[in-house]
Amino acid sequence: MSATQHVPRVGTEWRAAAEELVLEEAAQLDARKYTSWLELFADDAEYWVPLREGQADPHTELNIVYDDLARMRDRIVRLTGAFAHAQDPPSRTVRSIAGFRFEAAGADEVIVRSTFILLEVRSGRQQTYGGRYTHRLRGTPEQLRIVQKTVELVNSEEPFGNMTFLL
Amino acid sequence: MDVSALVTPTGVSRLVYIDEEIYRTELDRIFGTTWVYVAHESEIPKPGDYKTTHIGETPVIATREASGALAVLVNRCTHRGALVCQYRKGNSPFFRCQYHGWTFDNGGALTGVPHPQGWADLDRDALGLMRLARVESYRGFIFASFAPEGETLIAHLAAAREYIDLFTDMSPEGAIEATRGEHKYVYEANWKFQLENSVDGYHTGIVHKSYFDIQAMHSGQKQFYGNDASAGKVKDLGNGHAVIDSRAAVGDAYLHRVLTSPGGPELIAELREKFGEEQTLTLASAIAGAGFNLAVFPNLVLLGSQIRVIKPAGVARTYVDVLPTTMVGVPERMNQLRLRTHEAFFGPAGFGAPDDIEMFGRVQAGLAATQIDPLLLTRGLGREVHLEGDIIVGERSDETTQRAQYRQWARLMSAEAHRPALTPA
Repeated sequence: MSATQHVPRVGTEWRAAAEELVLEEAAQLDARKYTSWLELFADDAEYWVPLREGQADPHTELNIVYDDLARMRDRIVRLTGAFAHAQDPPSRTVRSIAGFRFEAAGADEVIVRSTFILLEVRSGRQQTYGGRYTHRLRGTPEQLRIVQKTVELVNSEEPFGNMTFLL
Repeated sequence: MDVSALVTPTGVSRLVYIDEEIYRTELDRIFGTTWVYVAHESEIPKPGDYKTTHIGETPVIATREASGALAVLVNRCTHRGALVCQYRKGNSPFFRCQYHGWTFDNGGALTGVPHPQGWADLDRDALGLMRLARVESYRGFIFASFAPEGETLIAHLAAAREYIDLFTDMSPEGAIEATRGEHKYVYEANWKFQLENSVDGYHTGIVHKSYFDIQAMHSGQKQFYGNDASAGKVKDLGNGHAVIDSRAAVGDAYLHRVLTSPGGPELIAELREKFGEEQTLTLASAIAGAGFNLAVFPNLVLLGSQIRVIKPAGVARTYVDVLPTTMVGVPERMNQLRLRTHEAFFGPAGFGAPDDIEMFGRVQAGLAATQIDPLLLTRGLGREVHLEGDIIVGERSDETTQRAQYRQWARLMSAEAHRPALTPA
């Protein structure tokens, strides 16, 4: 980072609340508690998994996932229904998140960057995914919601098998 | 190869999906012989542009030469065999093998050899990168064949041509582009499952029930797939090509999908102003796709808005590239909605395609059962209609399409292959 770039400091209280929410979100996903997972998001939330390394714009290019809250809800309707064959049986996952960095974004938003390693097991097959999370959170330290979750996979441009669990 | 025991009027043997020797023969007699889809011209529009891919398991580079001509080169140095190009796409006037420095122009000619005094008589003209014997493009779709002789691409495409035209002419200017990115899949099962499944009208309402239920939840319209009441038909188009033609059954379902998408109503208003009522309906439907699934034997599928390319990588390993297309001559936000519509179903995290791939794995695992054979492909046999030009029409869920594919498979596998020339052209 160059000396001229100013990253607004984030206070201890905000940091603790933001980190707690990111870890809580991961725990909900690993427990496949999809309905309560949705409640962590704001009404204007987005869930974005870019396809191309360095991709800045989800609109003009193809993505792996680019959901607004309505499509996130659809995704959960599908995953919790009886006919999502690619999740029957479901993936078991565990993710390890580290390297938290915080950046203030306006009076009521904070951006949390972290790295993750995710282990997935399904139908006798174990796979590893990894990358960077960026969570944009809004509210107050007492009441934070996720406004945008971005998942930059390090293998985003490689061929994939079944990635129908949530990253 | 005696294929009469492998493909019968009622089905195919499990061996066609699991036998290594049959697979090796496919690489030779199908991918090493017939016209194989390589790339779309919009991916390599300018001189020097290239894209790497595979024909069968052979690594190739599709290039646009300085003259603007298309070439398909085998991505293998003629000296000691290393790949000469490491990237998916790019622009370069030459390819240099970084092992010993041999350099080739983008038409394949050998232009540079370090320290050539080590050879008394190096025949550079004979040591260019191997060029596919025949390369032809139809409406921007580039095909290549290792066979020096054989039927023209037009003849090979047979009645599939009409559908390639329809797909391309979804654009008001008759031009589509495949430049916004590609989903890439890999699955551990035979390549033919993806080919069969792309024109399988029977599975749609079963495998994709979760997707169509969500569509119905938003639109209030019941799904129109997967039953015999559907006005859709399947067709054997000749030479192994086949289609599910759902256009008559789509009605205004695709329009509803647009109207219930974010920004959909505003887009429809913009289209009405620019194109008028009738063309707006056509264009709005085209956001979801052409209303048919076309499979061009052996490796190209046009489905929805996408170009799908099937690449075998072992008897039970397959790569699939899926490129959604955009249309030239329409508002950018219409193309963006097309990308979003594609993403909903396709991609490794989509609501539809992963369920298909799940089934391929289940079939491959099921075929470990040695006691049972064959797999049935008999659905609709008694109700097919034969039209002029050897076109066979079945109901939307009939296995007419798979029978078409295996007729061509058997024809190619029985014939002596055109061996690729052992010296570069």
